[in-house]
Amino acid sequence: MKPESNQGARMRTDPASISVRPAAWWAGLILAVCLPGLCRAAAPREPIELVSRPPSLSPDYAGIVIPPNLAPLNFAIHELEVARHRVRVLPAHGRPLEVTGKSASVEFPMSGWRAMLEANRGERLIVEVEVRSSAGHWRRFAPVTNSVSIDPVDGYLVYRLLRPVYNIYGALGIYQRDLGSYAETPLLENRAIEDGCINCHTFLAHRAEPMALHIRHRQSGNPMLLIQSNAVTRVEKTSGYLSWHPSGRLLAFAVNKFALLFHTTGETRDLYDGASDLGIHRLDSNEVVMPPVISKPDRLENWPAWDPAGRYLYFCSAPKLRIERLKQIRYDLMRVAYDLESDAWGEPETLVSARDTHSSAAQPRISPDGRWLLFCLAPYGNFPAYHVGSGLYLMDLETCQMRRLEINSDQSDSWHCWSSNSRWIVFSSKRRDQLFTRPYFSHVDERGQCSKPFLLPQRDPLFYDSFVKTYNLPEFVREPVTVTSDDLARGVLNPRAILKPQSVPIPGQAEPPAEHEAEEGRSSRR
Amino acid sequence: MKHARAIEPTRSWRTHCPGPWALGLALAAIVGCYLVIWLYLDPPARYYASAPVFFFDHDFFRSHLRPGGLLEYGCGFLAQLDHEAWLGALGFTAILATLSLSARAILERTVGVAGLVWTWPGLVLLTLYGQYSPPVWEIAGGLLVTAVALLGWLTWKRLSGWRRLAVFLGLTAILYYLAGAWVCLLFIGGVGASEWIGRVPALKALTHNTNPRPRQRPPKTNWTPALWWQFWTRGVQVALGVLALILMAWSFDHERRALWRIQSEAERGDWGGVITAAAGLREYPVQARLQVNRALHHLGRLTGELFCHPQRSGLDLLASLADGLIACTPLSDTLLELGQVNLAEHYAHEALELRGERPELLWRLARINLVKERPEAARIFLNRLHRAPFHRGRADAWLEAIEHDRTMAGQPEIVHLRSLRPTQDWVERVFPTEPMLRQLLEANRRNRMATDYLMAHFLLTRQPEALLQNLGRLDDTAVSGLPRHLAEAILIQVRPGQEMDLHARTIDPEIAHQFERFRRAAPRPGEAQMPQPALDRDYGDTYWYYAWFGQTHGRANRPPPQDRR
Repeated sequence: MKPESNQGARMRTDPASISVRPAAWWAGLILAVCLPGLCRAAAPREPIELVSRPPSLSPDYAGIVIPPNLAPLNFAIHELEVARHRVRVLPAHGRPLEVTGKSASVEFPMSGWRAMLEANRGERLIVEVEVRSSAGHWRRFAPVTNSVSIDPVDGYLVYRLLRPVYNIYGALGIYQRDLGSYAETPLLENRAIEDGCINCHTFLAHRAEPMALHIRHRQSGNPMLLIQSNAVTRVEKTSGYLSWHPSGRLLAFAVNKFALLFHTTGETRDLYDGASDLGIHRLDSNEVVMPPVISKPDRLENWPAWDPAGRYLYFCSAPKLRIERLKQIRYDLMRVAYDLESDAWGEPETLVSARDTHSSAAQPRISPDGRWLLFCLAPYGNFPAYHVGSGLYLMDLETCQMRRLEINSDQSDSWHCWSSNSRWIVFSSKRRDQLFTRPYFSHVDERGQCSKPFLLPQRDPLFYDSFVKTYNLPEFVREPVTVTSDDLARGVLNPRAILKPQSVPIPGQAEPPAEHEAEEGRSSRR
Repeated sequence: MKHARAIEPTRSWRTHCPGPWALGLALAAIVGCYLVIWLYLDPPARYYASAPVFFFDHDFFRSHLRPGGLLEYGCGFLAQLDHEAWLGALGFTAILATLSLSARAILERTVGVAGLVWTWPGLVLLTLYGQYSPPVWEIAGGLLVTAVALLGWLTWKRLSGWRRLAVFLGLTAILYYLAGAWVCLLFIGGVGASEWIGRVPALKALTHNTNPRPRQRPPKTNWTPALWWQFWTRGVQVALGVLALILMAWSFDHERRALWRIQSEAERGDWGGVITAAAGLREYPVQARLQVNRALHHLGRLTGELFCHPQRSGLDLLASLADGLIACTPLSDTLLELGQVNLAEHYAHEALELRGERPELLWRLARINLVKERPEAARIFLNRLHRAPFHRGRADAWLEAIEHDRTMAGQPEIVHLRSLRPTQDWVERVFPTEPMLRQLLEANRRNRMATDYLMAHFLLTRQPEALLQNLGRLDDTAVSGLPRHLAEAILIQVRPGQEMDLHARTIDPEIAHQFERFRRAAPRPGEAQMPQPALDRDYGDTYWYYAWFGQTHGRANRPPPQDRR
């Protein structure tokens, strides 16, 4: 025993052994790391079958234009028997991005993806997909080609998440999603305000503030929240479908009296507009006015939208008809000139006549560069999300020529929004399953051509396959909204600042339709 | 010897290691508790009444990573066991037993002996279980976590100085994150009590600890005041235990159990079970009314036994939201089976908003979307169900069926429901019953349920002439005879000597004789139309009684009928 211990003591103190041992460890480590790779490289690759068609991907991220600042487009390979996958993204510049996995779900690493997109603005990405069946049989599909746009998309998307609601509101909220990652944070959930409905989140020039929000809340009436410099003000005025004047001094709003109806065939829900007018909230003087040109007693006016220069207010207008003639209510797309300094209104002009199109216009949105007007046409009525045939149309405001967008599906496409650089649109579509609206992005080039729409990416590519909520009113915002959910909830329940706008009577003007009680009969579950 | 025998049981209670009798009693109590929960308290009824939504889902788990969330998650999972009666009973009994043993151990460590106090948490939980709405799994879980933490504290509290403080703070922090504020406060209260219990005589008395050395056997023949005090406190404990049992039985919510049992039987399609469960109700709330009518239809007894159940004039056969939000789920079922798929979708979504993503609602919506030929939407609901305990297998089978055939043309149930759908669009805010049923019959005159319900509607709205006019519809649905209530209604309508087209059907002469007797006994027009017990006894389950008095009371609430002959 003794000699051994002596030897051990010697070994511990021998300088040579001290220097050799770490070297041996390092060599072993390097071998352990590299050997499998070397063996794999040296081994002959398994036989692989070439499939002449591209793979079926879910979500469909094939042949699309990608914003250079978007989170990884994870997808599932929707092919029979995918026991393993090997996916390589071959960029024009930089190293390929390769991922492997033991399921059909393909998830790209965030850092590699970002670097690849950044280095390949305006270039193509070739996506090679190989899958192995459980029997060990490999197949390689024809490559998928995508493009990276040079135009970035705004950093955040703010939307409302709710189930397909009818009369009763359960859990719903407004959320913001960082488009560069998968982070989703709630801005305000209705459980924070003891139930109720939250809607019509509206931003000025794609900035996080000022922001306006409409609340339908039993205890607090139906107020609007104004958020400026992180301060929340409760405005004791019910206003829906809001639109900011670019000066930030005016808010156009709609006052509606809707009724929820049901069909026994086809799409179940429908909305009847019994009375609608537009009004202007002058924030600097805290006055509300209902100008006669946009609140005619014999017309239904809805969906106000200022143009980026603030010279025109776009809106939709239809004759007032009884509920029995629901399917004959079709809205024209109108605009009216406005001069902010003199507070003078021009004469309304019809841009798209319902008589000509046999359709009903809704949701006009003008691109920030003032060139394009994107709007919806539906068979009738004022709520395209409930109409299977509703689609997006684009009007060139230089020529006033309009066309149906090729990106429309045979299902409802609506709730669209322009990015701040006028190069991206996001819209809600039911194309995937006919029931839930999901946000789709499309690139719009300078000629107004739209790229193939693609779905908002999620970390889990199968996310949408079991998500029972709809995305409503997606809005691009350049920076994150920083006001907290608690502050917003306090603004509803226990506000520090309250504004009570003064109504400015206009001679000869009839009373506006009650208060904006959109979708009459709807209530929170409490 | 008498004294010695009287004191003998005290010894067995005092020993820390229970003897065979005590073990046998405990085992009997556990088995009894299990049987009571399984066979009487009806875990599936509780499942439909108040089981929280639970999914095996990363996001769902992540949403519980907050103070108190993990307890909620764990108990949410345990509450799913109620889906199967035997399993729910087993799980809850196991929790009760563990909690009781933990309580006993805590009491023994703090005051030496436990008396019967250790059984109280279990009794309280059983009482709450019988209420059907309190989150009893979460309460039980919280108590159990508190008990385990207290045992931990009692083990480590002998540490001294800062170590003791660190253990206390550590346990409190862990408890706060795991189980939330109330469990944390309960633990702090328990620690406080354990520190002070030895110093407060009243607290000691509660746990039957008058002897500072409990293991020491008292003198056999010396009836000291302390011994009397022991017997007295034990008597109080037994009395309190008996009182708790009485309170438990008294506070048991039979009505709520019957209501949710109706729902659970209807979910299983056990229509006989629905009728049996409904017998426990004096009045039918709207959800029970809808499910009982549905069950009667499926049993082929709607127009023959409608008035064997409580009915009241003015209540619509098909309810609406105005009758209460609770009607949404059964109304959705009824409308779907009738063929009004869109209206069924409406009410299923209302129920989803009200009650959250409960599996039974997801199933409804999956079916509705398949009938509406929206397989992708159905897949979303089925994928959600794939993550719900006890529903994965069935959901996978449906998903596979959709994968093979997106039209689901091979599924008889789906094909049948599609054949019942209306063909003409009709837009309304509220759909009156009769036009809605007529619309279905216009689309498919062989719609047996719509025919059955139309006849029942005529009965409930006391329209025998409309019933007679529509009697031919029975031919379309291959109903050969004349159900009892229809015959009764026709007899009211017929004038002496009047010929009537009964579409080759005849009225049972016995029913005609009964009607003659009823007419002689019933008040004449102009007389007070107040319900009469004698008529109720003999004719309370007939259309005539309902037509005269506008209500029936159901078999359970009527005096036993005499021989009507």
